Amino acid sequence: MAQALRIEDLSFRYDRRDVDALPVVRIGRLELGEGEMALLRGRSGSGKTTLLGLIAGLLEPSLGRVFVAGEDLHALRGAARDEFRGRHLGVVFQTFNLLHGFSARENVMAGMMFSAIPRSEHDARSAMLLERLGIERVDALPQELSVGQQQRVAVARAVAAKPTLVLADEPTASLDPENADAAIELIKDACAEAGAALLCVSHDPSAESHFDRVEDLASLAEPAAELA
Amino acid sequence: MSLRSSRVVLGSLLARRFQTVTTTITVAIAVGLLLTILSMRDATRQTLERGAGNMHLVVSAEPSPLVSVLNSVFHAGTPSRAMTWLQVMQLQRDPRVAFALPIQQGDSFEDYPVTAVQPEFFQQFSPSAAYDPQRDGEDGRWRVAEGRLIQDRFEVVLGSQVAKESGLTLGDTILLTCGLAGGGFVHEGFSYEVVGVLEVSGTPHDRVIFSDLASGWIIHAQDKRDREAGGSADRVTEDDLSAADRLVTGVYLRGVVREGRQASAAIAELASELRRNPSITVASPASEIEALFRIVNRVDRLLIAVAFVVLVSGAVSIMLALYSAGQMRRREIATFRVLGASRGRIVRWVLAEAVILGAAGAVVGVGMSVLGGLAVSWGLKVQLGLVVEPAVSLVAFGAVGAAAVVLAALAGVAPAVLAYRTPVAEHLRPLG
Repeated sequence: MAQALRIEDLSFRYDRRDVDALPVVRIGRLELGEGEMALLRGRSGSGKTTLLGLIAGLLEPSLGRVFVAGEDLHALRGAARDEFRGRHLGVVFQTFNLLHGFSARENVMAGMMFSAIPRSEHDARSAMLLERLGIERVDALPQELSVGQQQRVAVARAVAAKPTLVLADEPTASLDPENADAAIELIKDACAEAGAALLCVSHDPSAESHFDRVEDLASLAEPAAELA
Repeated sequence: MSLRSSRVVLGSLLARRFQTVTTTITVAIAVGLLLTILSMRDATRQTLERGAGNMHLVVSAEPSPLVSVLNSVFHAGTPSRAMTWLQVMQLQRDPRVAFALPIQQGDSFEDYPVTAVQPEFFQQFSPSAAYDPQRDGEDGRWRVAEGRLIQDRFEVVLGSQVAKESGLTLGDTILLTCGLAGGGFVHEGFSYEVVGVLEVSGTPHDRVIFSDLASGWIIHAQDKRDREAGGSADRVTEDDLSAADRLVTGVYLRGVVREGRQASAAIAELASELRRNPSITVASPASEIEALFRIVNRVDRLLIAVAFVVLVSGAVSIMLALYSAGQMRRREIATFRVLGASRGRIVRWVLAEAVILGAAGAVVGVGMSVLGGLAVSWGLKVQLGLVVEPAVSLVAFGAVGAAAVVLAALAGVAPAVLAYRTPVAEHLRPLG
């Protein structure tokens, strides 16, 4: 199976000069196949969000490599990495991070703005995604939508560019248990439909039941510790 | 349809409308002020230089040369003193004088100044400085757009602007009022007929009604006789006029010059000689205009400096607006970065916002300068009687507009750097 994500001996310290400090993130090896979905659990403050920042190429690792769709992400520099991220990665944030001056439809189109999808298809694709996710008020601003609707818009934006990999950061943190279950299923369905792999990080134990594969962030750290 | 950079940039500006509008207005005021000053300076100078036409000197009994020029040439106010006909004839007899054309001012019709002249005025004096009556003949003389020039008593011809604004047409009759400002008494019993309309000359004379000089003497003599009689005196005719009635308020004088020349040393000598007579004031319009502009230019430079300061403050306000917006939008910028926007693209968006603010300010400023020019023009007309048509060169428009845009772009650099350096991961963390 082709790989959506491969992490090799990754470690990250905020202060690179302080070699005695413990890394915030340590992962020896983690692989995610094409279209595969996994939950990465970890307690609060264990570096889950930092790991997603590393996988998205927003942070520079102290050691190790991250491959997305077979491409060594951190070997790419500047605009090339940004372009790659726009084409191959989708992110669902814990607090959604919708663009507040833009309508729901425009938020979804923003997800395709830097993708390989032709501009002429953006409008139709955003309309299709929002319809499938049950958003009727496509021209409403994010602040005019309920929390659940905002999350669905965020999910639609994350899969809009037909990414190789979707990263979901604590997607159930701001939801009640009933809606949390629905939200995870929604993300999984959307990723499945887009053919994207999903790496969901959460400290919520109830999320584990939705995934066939569950990894523990702490257990992934051992090989990296050996390297350090 | 797709989400484009233009939507992101405009959306950002529209999201903080108040700041966008106030910043644009600040830039617009600076641009408007600069363009108004530049346009009015050039237009005023051109108007003043044109007004003097082909005369070399103005002779009057006014207290100062500048007042003499402003009143006699630019119809700015009512002359306060008069010259006798004998003085006029002495000037006309001087062999160094090509023409000495008497004028009588002080009357008006509906705020339009009336200047009484003799028929020779239209043959000799020309709004064109290069016109030589002996050499050029018809070419360069006043041209009549409608009707004819004055041939008889109690006839008037209208300057082009008077005809355009007053609604008077050929055959209409008017009564003149004593004084330029409203409220003077009307010269009852002597109506003037409109017999012609002059073509546009581009000078202050366009807003003048030209009447016949002898008729002017008659109506003023009648007023004098009526006052002396304490009621209605017998109707005055031309034959009743005494030397004391034949007064003028000024003389347009041109010295004899060699063919192809506009001036000669003899004119300076003539002026110097005439100035020895304490009862008259001899003014060179060109010199007085130059002196006036030396004074005005100092104020001018100060105003231009102020306008530049306002322009720079406009650029600073752009920088502050974008900087504070950038601080508030760091999460939005970080989100766009995650979606694939490069740092370069973010920088271009911020600079585009700055340029749009500068360009919008420049466009609004051009509009303001047009209104400002009209306002200053109206003020000059009301306060000084000068007719100045604001005219801005395209070069000035382009230069000031470009300066505004360049300054705005420079002002956008610091906010763009802030956006460029936005730490993405840090600004995507949950709030609180």
